[in-house]
Amino acid sequence: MTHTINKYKNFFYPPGGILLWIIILIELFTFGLGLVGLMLFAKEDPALYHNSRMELNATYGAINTVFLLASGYFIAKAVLRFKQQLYEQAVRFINFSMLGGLLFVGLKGVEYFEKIQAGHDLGSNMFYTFYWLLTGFHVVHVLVGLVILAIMKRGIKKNKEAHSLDDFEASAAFWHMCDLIWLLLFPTLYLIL
Amino acid sequence: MSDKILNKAFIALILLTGLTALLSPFSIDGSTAVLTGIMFLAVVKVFIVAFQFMELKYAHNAWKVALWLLILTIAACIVLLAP
Repeated sequence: MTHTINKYKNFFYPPGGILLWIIILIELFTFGLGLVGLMLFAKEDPALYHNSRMELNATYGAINTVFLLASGYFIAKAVLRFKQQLYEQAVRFINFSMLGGLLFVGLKGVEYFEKIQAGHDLGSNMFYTFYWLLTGFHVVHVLVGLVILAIMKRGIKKNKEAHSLDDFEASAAFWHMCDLIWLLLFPTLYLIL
Repeated sequence: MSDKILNKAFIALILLTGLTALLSPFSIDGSTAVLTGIMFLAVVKVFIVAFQFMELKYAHNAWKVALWLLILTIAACIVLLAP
């Protein structure tokens, strides 16, 4: 464990790998630009943005935050168990983590269904254009993350030595990136306009 | 990383989310203080996830500084540009 921590201190070996951290920073930058764009447009017509934001269900957003945070917690536990070579426990925690992700996607689906039923689609107004693009792009990341976790879980179950710690940390870091993005999207879209 | 630290981090994240939910009704009148408070809590949660769950605390300082700068810039822009 100490050896691993010492390795992380090297600029080229952050936990999850240098390439994934470059991706994480670029993704955060991209979503950040989207949020800044949202705020710039909101300045032009504050009433429209406020009224549209009030139509969103903040309770769904808060519950989804808890789902993603719990999911991130479980995948962090899974990485810890993997390091301790407790592979069966690691798989169990991956299952819990995937459950959190699936609950997030399910509730997001309910929210999207309600929005479409109410006639709030991508072209309704600029707020909804941002809402659909930002949250939709985020959901795509969550789905990709779920596929990565499923492949990782299958690999560990089949052959415990099939994946290195680096592979697992990279998968977990991608999953945590979904948390990081959502933690910025949720307050900006659902709470502050 | 240990179970104890992860448990503490998770409890802190849930409490901060609860605090955000408590603050949110006061944001309807557009109070700058409430808006800043909500974004501050979001930034704290981002750093807890990054430093504890993603173990960024062990990484080279350049990665820590890059994340700090990026997240603080995004949060500051949102607060300053809010209508």
